[in-house]
Amino acid sequence: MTREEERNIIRKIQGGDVNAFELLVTEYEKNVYNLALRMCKNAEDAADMSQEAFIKAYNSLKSFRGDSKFSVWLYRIVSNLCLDHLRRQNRRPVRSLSVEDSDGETAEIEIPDEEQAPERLLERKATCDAVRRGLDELNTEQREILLLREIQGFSYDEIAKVLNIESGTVKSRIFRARKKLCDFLIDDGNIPDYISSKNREKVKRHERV
Amino acid sequence: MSGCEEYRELISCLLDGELNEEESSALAEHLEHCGECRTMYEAFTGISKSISENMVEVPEELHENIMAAVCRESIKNKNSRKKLSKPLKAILTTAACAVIVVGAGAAVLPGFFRCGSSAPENYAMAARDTAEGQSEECTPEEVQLPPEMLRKNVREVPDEAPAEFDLKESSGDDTIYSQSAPQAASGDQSTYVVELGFENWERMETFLHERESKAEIALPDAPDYIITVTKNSSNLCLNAYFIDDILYYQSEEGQVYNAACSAEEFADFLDSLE
Repeated sequence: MTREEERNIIRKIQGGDVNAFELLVTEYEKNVYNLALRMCKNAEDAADMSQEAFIKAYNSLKSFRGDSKFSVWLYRIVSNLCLDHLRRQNRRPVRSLSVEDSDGETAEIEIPDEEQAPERLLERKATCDAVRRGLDELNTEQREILLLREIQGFSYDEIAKVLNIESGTVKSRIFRARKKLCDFLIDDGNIPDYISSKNREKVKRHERV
Repeated sequence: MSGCEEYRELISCLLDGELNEEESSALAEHLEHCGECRTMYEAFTGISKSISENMVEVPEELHENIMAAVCRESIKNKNSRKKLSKPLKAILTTAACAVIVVGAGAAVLPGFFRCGSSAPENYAMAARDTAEGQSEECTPEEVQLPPEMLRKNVREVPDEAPAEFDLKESSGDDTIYSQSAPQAASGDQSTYVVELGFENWERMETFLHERESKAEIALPDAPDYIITVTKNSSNLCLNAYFIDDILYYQSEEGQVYNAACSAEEFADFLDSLE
């Protein structure tokens, strides 16, 4: 959907055409649902959040000015809903694995040969499952920002608008989220370490300081 | 190792297309001879792919549920909209004095006070009261009109009125007029209910702001006309008093404003909103 098409559809909805709204629902429901799913970690809540988000969007569409993309506006709604929901459920952000990691005395993980072809390194099904588990282990903010980038494909500027933070913060938060996810996958045995084990120990000890 | 620190975060940016040409080539060059960074790049790429591939289809009922809920919302808004067949201005001219109540939808706006017991029974929000599932009713809060004002606001119905003022269902149109039930009258003012949609409410605000200035006076005791504007689905309302071609109203903070606008002009404006 082009920006122009979107504008026309929104104008129709603002004029009272409910059916036009269905076009927006169809366009965004998959991404909204998946974002909510990874945020709330269960399908029922995700469905509730998705529905609530679209209803809210419909009711407030009159105040949508079109300064930003509709998706940015919509995802702000989704994000706030999910965060409120999680807060209400009293879920404490999960500490990332690398902090929780046991000290350097644990047994070393087998590190596969770096020469292996990249495609083999991420064996699809097992890794998808591991990635999902890894995402669940991230703290709420990191998970959310990674999802906004990967699922919705927002630019850093757009993410900054959705979350109401600085662009620089977006950049570092995404990086740290990816890095932590990688650490999880390494420990899980799913991908090769990106630094040699010796140096990894050094880096970990340094990070803990 | 240590030299790679600065490149690490850039790897993430490269993946997201956030680097300019210069930065991209610098990083690409580094990746060419640094195995570890290359591995990180590949790991990040793999994660990215996994997450998007991990996406699931929307559960079957969800789309239907969303649309059903949205349709309910739109019906909620429509039910409260009914329309009179005659333009407001014509109503004004046939009635000796008119109190017209106009409404609009959505959120509370500054500069207008809330509807409360300022709406006496004869401000029959007929359209609104019968609307299904109205989430926000006009709850008796602050008294906006002095009591003597209320007693005067009795409708005098022109003989032919009932036939003309049928409430009609109007789709898409967001201006509603309805006429309140007459009350035992001593006064000679009439009451009408008109409801506007959100956008028309905003246009009305603009209309008033263009013509107004703050007044150091109180609201007139015996206006020729009173037009009360209420908001559909909210407890917001504005009471506009007309005397000598000037409109007076009081804001939420109690500040009285006046606008160079006669009742006829205001009615004309409201009619034009359709």
